[in-house]
Amino acid sequence: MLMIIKLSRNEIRAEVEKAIRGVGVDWGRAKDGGVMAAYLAGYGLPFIGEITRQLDELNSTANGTRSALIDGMIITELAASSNVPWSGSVKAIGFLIAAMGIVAAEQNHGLLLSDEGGVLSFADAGGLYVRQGGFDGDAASDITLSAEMIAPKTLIKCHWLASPAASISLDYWVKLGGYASRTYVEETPEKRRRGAGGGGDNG
Amino acid sequence: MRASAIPQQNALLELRPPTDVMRLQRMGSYHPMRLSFSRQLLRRMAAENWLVTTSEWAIDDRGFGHAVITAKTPNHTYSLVAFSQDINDEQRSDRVIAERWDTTFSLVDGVVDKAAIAMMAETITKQEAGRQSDDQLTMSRANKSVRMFNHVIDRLASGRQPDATMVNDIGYIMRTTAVYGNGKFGIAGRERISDRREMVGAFQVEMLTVYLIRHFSLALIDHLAKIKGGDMTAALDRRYARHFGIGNATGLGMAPFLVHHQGLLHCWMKTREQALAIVLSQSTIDAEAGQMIADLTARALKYTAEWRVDDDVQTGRISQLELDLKTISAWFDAPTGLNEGWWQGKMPLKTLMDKANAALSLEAVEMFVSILLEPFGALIDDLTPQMSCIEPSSINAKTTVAQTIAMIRRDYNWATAIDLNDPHESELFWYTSVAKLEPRLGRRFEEDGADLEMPFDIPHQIQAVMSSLLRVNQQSSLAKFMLSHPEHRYILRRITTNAALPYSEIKDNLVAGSTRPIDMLRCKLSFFGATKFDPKSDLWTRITLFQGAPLADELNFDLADGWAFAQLHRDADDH
Repeated sequence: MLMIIKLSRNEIRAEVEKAIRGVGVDWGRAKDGGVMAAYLAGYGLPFIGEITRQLDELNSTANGTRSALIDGMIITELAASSNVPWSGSVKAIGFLIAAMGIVAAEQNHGLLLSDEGGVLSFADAGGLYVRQGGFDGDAASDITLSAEMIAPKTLIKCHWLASPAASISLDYWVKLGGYASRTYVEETPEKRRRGAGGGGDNG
Repeated sequence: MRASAIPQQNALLELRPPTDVMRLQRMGSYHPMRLSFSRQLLRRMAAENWLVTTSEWAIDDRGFGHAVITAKTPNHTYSLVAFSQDINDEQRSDRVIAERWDTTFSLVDGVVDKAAIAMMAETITKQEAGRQSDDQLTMSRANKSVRMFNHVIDRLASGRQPDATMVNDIGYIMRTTAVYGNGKFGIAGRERISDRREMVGAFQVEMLTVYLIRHFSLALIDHLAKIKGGDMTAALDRRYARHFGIGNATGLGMAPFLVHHQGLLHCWMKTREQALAIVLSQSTIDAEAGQMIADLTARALKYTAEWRVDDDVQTGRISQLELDLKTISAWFDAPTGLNEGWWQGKMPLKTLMDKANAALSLEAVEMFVSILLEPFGALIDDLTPQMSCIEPSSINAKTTVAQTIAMIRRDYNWATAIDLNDPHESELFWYTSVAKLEPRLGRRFEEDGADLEMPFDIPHQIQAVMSSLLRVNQQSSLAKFMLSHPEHRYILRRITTNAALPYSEIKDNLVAGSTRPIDMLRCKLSFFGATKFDPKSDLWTRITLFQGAPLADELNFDLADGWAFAQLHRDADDH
């Protein structure tokens, strides 16, 4: 039976950040991953399965196609800051869409994402748009990301969910927690004595 | 104390620069002020006539069971669900790793029904180990100060009031060991309430939780005293009741917040500096405000005289503070001090502040900042919405490498100047312990775990990124640089954020052997409005919240705004 757990976006952000760090990615991009995951959760777009699969891959190899979970923000910032479109092969495309939405809103840009099937997504300060029928969240896509100010009419506008909680599979959450736990240091009585904060006795 | 009318203002003075303000030693000398979050909450509660009631009381004769305390605002209802249980002395620990507590709480959005209470009886009492629901806004727990708790009940039951010295020295009946908000452990994220007028300010839902816990603690005392004393029982004198705040044992868990949340840190620090600049810029003030400053200084002196701690360092600082406050008091004593009518001089508050800066300890200077802000609510209270913000996640990557180097040279010269070959500068590392995910501080050259450290070694990262930046094309964009050097993204985000938000970075090496995390805790706690900092080591402190604050049934403007530097006068001794 599929067990579901409800999570706040803040929980998602924090746990994803630690999980990405847990597979050896630097803290800067790990933070990006957490922010993008919470953003996708806010729009009700798929993210958790893609994250765990990406982390499994990253855990087994450091090479290969760029993952938007890791590099999505940097690629998007590069496209937003340049007059030249960025083209290349990217996995976990949903996170690139999240990065577009975040950068567009924070920096007041318009950004257009296209793949082999045509225009896939657009983001500006007014919102986020995706192609009808969505996108394959896992597969590598040859994409082009460019600065563009007007949303194509063929796209559907996404809506920010009223509920601040997201429901996801407990299995995925447990797996994510396993990666996150790699950032924790084992407890010893000596460590507790020397390095602990709050505490005390009855008084 | 009522804020005075708006006086005449010169052009705004420059704010104290981040190079002075963002130093740990100064941040560790902060005191609560009228912009503190607890003060903001009570002003709003009074202005909007919030109604606090005990809507359910199912506490037995031993003091165990549950209760619901409700706060009704003009637009919303918030319910504190409280559980009180029997634990033994060995289980009563303030450490975050404890698993049982005397009392556990959750602030719920709206009115709670019996089914919800029954469910929470299973989850809240387990705290982190229980999965909470998304209509809960906070989760907290508190232990009794057994000595104080029993003493007050015994005294009241025998028709007497508690011992004034003991009330003052302890200052609370219960102390919390954690107050969780913003989506932790399944409770609602801040988005649920962030558009509500009463919750827009920083940490308002957490402050409301603590205020209602204090209300519960006083009700519990009253309940048990009546059971024990029957008709003999005395009601707790309001002066004592007001002097009971809620204690808190605060450890390292709070410190990383100031590093992780650059945007918020900037908003808090800059707002305080802006408020100070506005006040110091007054070309003249009226006699009433001048008298208030003199009175507040006298009050601060009494408060300081009642501030007793075990820690040797803090004891020394408090002694110096007393001397310094006496010096300030003397300024107001004609004919030896300032001229009579000093407030009529040109920019009188700036003159005072200049004198303080020239002669007094940091502890006294920063307390004087709190004193000077106090009479001028009409000028500065409207700044408080600036103290919460949405923090940026992205980097404006149009910035060039050369511009980034210039930012580092301008804003991080304190970090580039550090000799990282000196082992002392790398002695500590910050990490997350597997035990309840508690932040800890380790000794790099003596303990395992440095490979899992949190990225708080800012000077090390600054020097590393500077070295890389100097080796690439200076006209290249930062985005291109990050694509080939993603390992520097964390520090590049800090640098670009700090360029826009200059009060967002602590300008000290947080992994140096001499770092005192207690300074970070104190800074944050002062913004909460915490008083009576009582350091138990460099790593944790006890404090009190809402000490001296009006009780729930006396929330009028004068009381709600006039409890700065609360003290229990020595003449309020045993009845």
